Amino acid sequence: MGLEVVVGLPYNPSAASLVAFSGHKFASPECFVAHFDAYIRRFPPRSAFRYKRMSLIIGRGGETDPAALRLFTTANRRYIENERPEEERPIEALKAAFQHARSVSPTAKCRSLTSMYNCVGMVFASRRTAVDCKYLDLILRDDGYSPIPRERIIEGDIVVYRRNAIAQHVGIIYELRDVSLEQNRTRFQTWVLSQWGEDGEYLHELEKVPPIYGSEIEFWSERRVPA
Amino acid sequence: MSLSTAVHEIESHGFAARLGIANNVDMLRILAAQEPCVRELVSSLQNAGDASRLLSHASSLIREQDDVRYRNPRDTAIAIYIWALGQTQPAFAALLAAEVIRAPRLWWARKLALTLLANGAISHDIETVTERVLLKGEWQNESSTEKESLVISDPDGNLIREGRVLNVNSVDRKNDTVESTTAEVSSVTNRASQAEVVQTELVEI
Repeated sequence: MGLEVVVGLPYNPSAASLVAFSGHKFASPECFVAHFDAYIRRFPPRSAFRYKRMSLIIGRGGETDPAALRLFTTANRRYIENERPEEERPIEALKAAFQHARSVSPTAKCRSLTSMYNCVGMVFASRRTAVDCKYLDLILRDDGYSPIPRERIIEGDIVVYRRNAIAQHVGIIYELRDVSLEQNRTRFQTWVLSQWGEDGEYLHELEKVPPIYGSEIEFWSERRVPA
Repeated sequence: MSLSTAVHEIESHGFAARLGIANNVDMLRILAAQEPCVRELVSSLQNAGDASRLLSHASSLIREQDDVRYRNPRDTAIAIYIWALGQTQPAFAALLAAEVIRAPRLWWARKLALTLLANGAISHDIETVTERVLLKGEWQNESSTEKESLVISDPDGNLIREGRVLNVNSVDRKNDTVESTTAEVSSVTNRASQAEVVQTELVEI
């Protein structure tokens, strides 16, 4: 959550409109309240106005949010909004999440049951925070990722799931399991490591994810291979 | 399905698990809308009496003290209550949201509350909210003057760096034009421009 201060708002009940009248810097919310009270004493509300105190939250998840990590894209140093959960979910809830995940993907293997980060946070922020998927395209672009065809993926590359072209989920290619049945024809089963929501990290088959993540699958890589 | 059955289902771990795969608030809302119990809830909340009872119930869930090391086990349920009230009884949703953003150990509920507040749903019906605050005894015991909240996005931190949120002096009384630094503030000031502007000068004490 961002900086939280109490701000006074003259309140016009007929128009149901609000005017914030801050414009001053205050050391603390208490300091503002003191100023607010002094203001009310000096300028008593006219009949058309009542004054309300309101909590004001500014820039949650942003650079000034003490609960967020200072996270930037590599190339252009653009800030990535993020929020760190403060508490883990109860054990029973995480167990229920695991049961649900197994019902979605029976072959999925749970690597870790934690709700302290999400899929983007797992891949791009070392499991330290939760980053909205809307930043995925920015991160891929700024961090020098390029789309690659499925035939060229190797372990460590990134898979992005989209629904209606909007990024919904991201994971890391974990294993290309050789499932060739014929001698001259190689076929790999792709396994992915990803955090599902904020409820657990799973090793799963590429296509076996919750349908809400979308069926448009892309592969990206930042690999730099010397010539 | 009755309302009580729907509420019971919404507060179960299984429900939280089904919605817990959401990666963001939009996804949570889509998943919620697919749940029959949530549809039943939204339908029931057209009735103001049921909505009022749900508000009281949700308020008690927020204050529930179980194992405080962990997130509130009804976090997802409270989030859905905010969302469902927002669909049907925005004034109640605003009350619940205002309480949620001050409450500890919430994640989805806080996100939904902040989204609701940031979208301005709280201010368009503020008179009704105030009246209902005063009507409801359990809310009346607390300071009803501190029940509202306003959320402003400030991704570049300009508002904080400059030490201002919205300077009333930037509102031109002659033509009601407003200068602001962000779209969100602009939307707030557009509402503000409809009100009589009070020239302010805070007194050092």
